[in-house]
Amino acid sequence: MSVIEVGAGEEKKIVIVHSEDSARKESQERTIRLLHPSASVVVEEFFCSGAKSNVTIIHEAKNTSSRIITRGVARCGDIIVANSRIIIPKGSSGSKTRVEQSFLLLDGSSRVRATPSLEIEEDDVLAGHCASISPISEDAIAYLASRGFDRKVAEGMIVEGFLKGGAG
Amino acid sequence: MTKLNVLNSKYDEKYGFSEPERFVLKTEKGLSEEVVRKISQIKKEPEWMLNIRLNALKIFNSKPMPEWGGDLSGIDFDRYTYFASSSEKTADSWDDVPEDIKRTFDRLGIPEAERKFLGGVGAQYESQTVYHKLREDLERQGVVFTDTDSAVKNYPDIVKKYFSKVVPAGDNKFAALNTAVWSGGSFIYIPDGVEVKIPLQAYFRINARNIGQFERTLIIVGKGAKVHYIEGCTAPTYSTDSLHAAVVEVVALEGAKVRYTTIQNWSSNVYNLVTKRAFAYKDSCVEWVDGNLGSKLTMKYPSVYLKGDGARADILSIAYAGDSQHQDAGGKVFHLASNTQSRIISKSISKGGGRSSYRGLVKVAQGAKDCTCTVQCDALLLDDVSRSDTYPSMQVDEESATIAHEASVGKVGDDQIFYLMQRGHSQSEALALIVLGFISDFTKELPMEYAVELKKLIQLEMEGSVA
Repeated sequence: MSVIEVGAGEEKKIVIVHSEDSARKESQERTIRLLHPSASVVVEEFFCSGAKSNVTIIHEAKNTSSRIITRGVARCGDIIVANSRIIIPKGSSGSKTRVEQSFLLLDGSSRVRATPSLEIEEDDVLAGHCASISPISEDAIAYLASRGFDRKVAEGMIVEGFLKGGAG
Repeated sequence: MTKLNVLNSKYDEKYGFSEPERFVLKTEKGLSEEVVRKISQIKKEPEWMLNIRLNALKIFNSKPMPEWGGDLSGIDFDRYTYFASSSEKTADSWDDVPEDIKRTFDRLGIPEAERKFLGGVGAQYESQTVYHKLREDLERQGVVFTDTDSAVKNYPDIVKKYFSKVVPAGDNKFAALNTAVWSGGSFIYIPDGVEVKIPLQAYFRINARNIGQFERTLIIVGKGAKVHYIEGCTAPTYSTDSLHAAVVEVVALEGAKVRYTTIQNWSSNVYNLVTKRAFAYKDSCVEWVDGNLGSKLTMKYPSVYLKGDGARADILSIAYAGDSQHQDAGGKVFHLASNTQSRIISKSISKGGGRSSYRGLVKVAQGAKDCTCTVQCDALLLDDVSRSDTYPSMQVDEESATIAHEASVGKVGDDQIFYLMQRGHSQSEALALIVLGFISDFTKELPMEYAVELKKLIQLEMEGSVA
């Protein structure tokens, strides 16, 4: 397990990429502590293959902010387990958090397990999360097909755009 | 007296009263094989039911207490009385109900509600169903609405076929407990093609202290049939706690539509640990409308197993957690067949140190094509001592599934309060309006009488509580 601490006024960006190599490790645990006022963190997490990941962010000071953007593509029997946990204890007023998780399932043998949890003990906060799990849109495939891309190429373009969208 | 007070006094006045404890039959405290045998003997049950109970007791004893969810350390199984009855039989005329029980339900407005707008009414007091009545025209159509004890005697084939099939005793510790010591509850059977247009209602009341109420409800809705069942629960305010561990099993056969509405307003000394589950077959529709206002700890996750193509599930729940209350509620949907749809909407409000948690599960099994599910859970924190959690879980094993989840946690904005105050509302009125707006998705699904009552309850809770 790794613990990352973010100091006063610091804006940290953490990029996690789960690829074929990293997937061999059993499970990945990360805890991010926002220790001082105005500390902020953005976590971008990409699943390009099956992996298990737990990300915990603890807002330990006032006016801290966090954001998790997760994009994952599951194919060929990949199992993606993406757990995120945001904790805002009492006293960390003015904190903000937003968790966005999106996954594409490319075939029937793949699996996604997503649990974006929030534990909030402070009322003066903005907290939200959203998650979606879906196949590639047939509309998008049809759009690209009508412009001369075959299905395979179109799928590749859509996946690429989907993953890049997270980085934006 | 203000208008609000006339309409709805505080919990203690309206629901928190108690009648002196008086029992016709009662088992000793604590749980043992003897107690289970005695309950079965009192009810003169057939052997097969006793065997189900004894089996469940073994499962109960072997299962550990759940370690997730709320704090269950205050539950001491030896302290509760598992069966207590204040009436010897189920009456079908209100006049035959014992006087003290009648007084209780009169105060709660039950027979009045029956006269006004219900197709059938059941009332359970402690462990025993004291009153059951169904409108004659529904009876003629073959609708059965009775207590589960009578159903074991009168409809053994149906009960044998479905009892403990939707929620097996081994499902969880409290389902096992219920299966071992269950008593009372509603049994509803709607024959194929019959539409019951007016709701059926049951009311559950715990009067004594340290008592466990373990009703068992079984609802079977035939092909193309429709029914709406409403359930209300209250208990007096005592300093010692009571345990309510119910099991509800719903079977919606092909094309059936069933809605189950609960307004739970237990006093804040009741552990409310309920297992509710429905099996939805082809093209059927199951709706849980679930209001959790009271209790010390509620752990309740109405679930739907979508077992047939085109089945739909709708789970709508609100939770209000006040001082020292924990509402751990949510919903679970299992998409086990193709083209199934589900929607979960959950709203929670925490105030005065209360804690509300949303705990949900959406599972799409492999091979269940083109399923869609949307989950929306919103939480409102009304002060800085309260707490709100969200634990959604999504498990998708099928590529063609479309799952969306959305949640937010926030507080009432000062600007919103300011806006309403400018238009002549007091601060607490403004807060009540905002809270009511927040849960309007829920209230608009309730029968009007309930919506009005809920609205008043919320207004009352908001009085003198300005963020």
